[in-house]
Amino acid sequence: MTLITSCLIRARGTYRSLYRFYANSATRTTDVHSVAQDSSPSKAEQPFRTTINDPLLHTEKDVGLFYTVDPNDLKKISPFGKALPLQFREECEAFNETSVMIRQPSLDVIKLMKQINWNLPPLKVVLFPSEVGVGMSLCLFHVLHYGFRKRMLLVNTPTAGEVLKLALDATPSPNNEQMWDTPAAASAWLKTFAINNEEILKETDFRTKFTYTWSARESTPAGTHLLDLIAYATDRIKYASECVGAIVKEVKTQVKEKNIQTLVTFDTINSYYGPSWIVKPDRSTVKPNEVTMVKALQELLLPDWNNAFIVVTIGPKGVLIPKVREKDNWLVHYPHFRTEHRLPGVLMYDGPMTVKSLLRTEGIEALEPFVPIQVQKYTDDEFNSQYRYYLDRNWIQNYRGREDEGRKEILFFTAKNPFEMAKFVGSR
Amino acid sequence: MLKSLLLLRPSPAQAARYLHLSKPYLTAGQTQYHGQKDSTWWEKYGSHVDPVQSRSELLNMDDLDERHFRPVKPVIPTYQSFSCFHDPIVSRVMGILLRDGNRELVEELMHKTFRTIKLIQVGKWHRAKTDEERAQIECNPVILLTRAVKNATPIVRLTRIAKGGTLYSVPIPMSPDRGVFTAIRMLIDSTHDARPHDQRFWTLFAKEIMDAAQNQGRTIKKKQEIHRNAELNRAYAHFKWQK
Repeated sequence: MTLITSCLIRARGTYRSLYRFYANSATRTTDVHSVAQDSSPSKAEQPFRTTINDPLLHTEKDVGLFYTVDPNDLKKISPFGKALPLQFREECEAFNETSVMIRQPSLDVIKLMKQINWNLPPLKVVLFPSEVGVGMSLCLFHVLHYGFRKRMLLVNTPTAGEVLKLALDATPSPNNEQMWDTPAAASAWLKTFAINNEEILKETDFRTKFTYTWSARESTPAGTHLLDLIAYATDRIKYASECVGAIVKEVKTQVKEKNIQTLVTFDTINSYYGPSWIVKPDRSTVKPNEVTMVKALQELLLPDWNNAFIVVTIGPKGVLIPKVREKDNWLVHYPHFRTEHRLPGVLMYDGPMTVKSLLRTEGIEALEPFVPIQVQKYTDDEFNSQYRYYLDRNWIQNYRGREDEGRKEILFFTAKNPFEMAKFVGSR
Repeated sequence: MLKSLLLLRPSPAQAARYLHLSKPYLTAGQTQYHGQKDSTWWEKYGSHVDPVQSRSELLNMDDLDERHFRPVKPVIPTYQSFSCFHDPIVSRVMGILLRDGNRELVEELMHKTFRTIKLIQVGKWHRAKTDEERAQIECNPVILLTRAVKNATPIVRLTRIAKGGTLYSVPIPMSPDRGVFTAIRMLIDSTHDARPHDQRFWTLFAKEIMDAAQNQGRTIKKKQEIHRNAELNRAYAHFKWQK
C-alpha cells in the first residue's frame, strides 16, 4: 500500500481523483456543527432571575427562573440548616446568597394547595424522582417557603433518615419497654418546630388540651403553652421523644378548632419503611416502628384529622442498605466494584427507582391514597438558566467553560441532571 | 498436508519471531524477542506520521493531508482528552496520586479538592468590597495549582559522589520534569502529614495548594530546606565535573 501511495504522491496531478480509494479514513471530514444551531440571541436575552422573591406571587411564567430567599426567612425555616442539601448549602455560602430555581413540580403542589377543601382528611402529595439527583429537596423547600409565607403551621421533618441512620444515642424508652428513644434527634425536631412556628403559636395561644405524665412524679398539666412544653422537653431530654408524640397529638386535635392550615413535610420518608442502623445490645436491628419518634410522626399520615396538607419526598438515600460489617463485604474494597458504594448516603441502592420499590408495601399502605408528582431533569430552558446563574456567580472558572463550547460540553457530560451538573461544574 | 495448509502457520523463518506467544512459560528475554526487527516501539512507528492533536485540526484538515494515505502512529492510551476542561498538570497530579490503578478514586479526590478551593475563594470573592480586592483574588483552582507547583519546584538536588574513599553530598541541577514531580510529591506528602489529621484528604490538600500558591506552608518549607542544604554543600559542587 505504501508503495502505491508513494508512487501516487510522486505523480501528483495525474491521478488526484483516484486518491480516495487508497485513503486510510474518510477524506471529507464532516462539520459536526453543521447540524441545526440553536438560536443564541434568544438565550442571551431571556432572564434567569426574578425580582419576585415571595413564593406567594410566583406563577407559571416563572418556571426556570431563580428567586433569592430572604436570609431571615431562611433562618426561620431551617434554623439548623437541615432543610437544604449539604452541597447546596456550601455553594450558597460561597455565593453569599440562597437562590432556588422555580420548577414545575413545586408550582403544581402550590396549585393543589390553593384548591383543596380543608375540611376533608389531609391530601398527601408524593414527589418522586425520575432519576437520582433531580432536585426534590429543593422543590420541597420552595413549598415550605410558600407555606411559611402564607402563615401556615409547619410540621417539618427535614431529614427523616437521620433519626434512624445516625442516631448515636438511641436509648430504650423509660415508659414503654419495647420502644426506643432518640433524644438528640427529638430535641432538634422540637427546636425546629418551635422556631418555625413561633409567631403562629404566640398569636393563636396554642395551649395543650391533655395532661401528659412523663413519669410518676413529673407531669405537664393541660393548658400549658406549646412553646413552654418544648422548652421543658429540651431541658429534660429524657422525655423529648415522647414530647414529639404529645405535640403531634395536640396539633391533630386542635388545628380544626383554631382553623389554622397545616403543612406537613417529610424528606426521604422511605427511610421510615426500610432498615435502620440502630442495633440492640444483642446485635439485632430495631425496626422503625419501634422508635418512638418515627411512630409518632407516622400518626400524622393517618386520615383522622383535617385542615392539613402533606407533602412527602422519596429518595434513594432513604432506603438504606442494612449495616453490614466491612469484613463481610469483600467486594466493596475492590476498586471497580466501589463505584456504587463509594459515596455513603448517595445511591446506596441497587434496585429500580420506582415508587413501589423505594417505598415498599408498608410505605405505600401508610401513604395511600396519594397524589404522585414526578420531578424530572432540567429542560433546555432550565439548563440554560442554571448555566447562566453559575456564570453570574463566578462559579465556572475555566475560561473555555465560559464559552459556548463549554456549555455544550457540560450539556453532553451531565445530560441535564441537576446533581451531576452541580458536581461537574463545581469540580472544574 | 492439506490440513497444514488450511491452518495459518508462520513459516519456520518467522516462527522465532512469535516464540514468546507460543511458549508462555518463557519470559520475553528468554525468547530472543528483543533485538528483532520492529520489536521496539520507536523502530516500528518511526516512519509513521503523528496523529491529529486537536479538534480544530480535525475539522480543518485538508483532503490531501498526509495522514489519509500514510500510516499514522497509534494514539497512546493515556487519559488525554480533547475536552475543554482537560489540563496536563491535573493529569500529572492524578497519575502521581494513583494507587492500585484506582483512577476513579483519584478523580473524585481531585474534584473535591478543586471544589473546596473554589468554595473558599469564590466566597472571598463575593464578600470583597472593592473591585481591586476582587481582581487580586484568584478563584481558578487550576491556576492556583500551577502556581503552587511552580513555587514548590526545587532547582538543585543533592547526590552522593564518592571521591577518595568518602561520600560527599554534592548539589547538582535538577531537570525541570524531575522538579515538577518532586514538587507534586512534596505537596502530597505534606498533606499526609498535615494536622488536624482527622479532616478529609481533599480539605487538607486544598489548603496545601493555596498555601503553596502564596509561598507559605509546609511544602515551601521543605523546598527551602532542600535549597539550604544545597547551599551548605556548595563547596563540593565542582565534584560533578571534576571526576
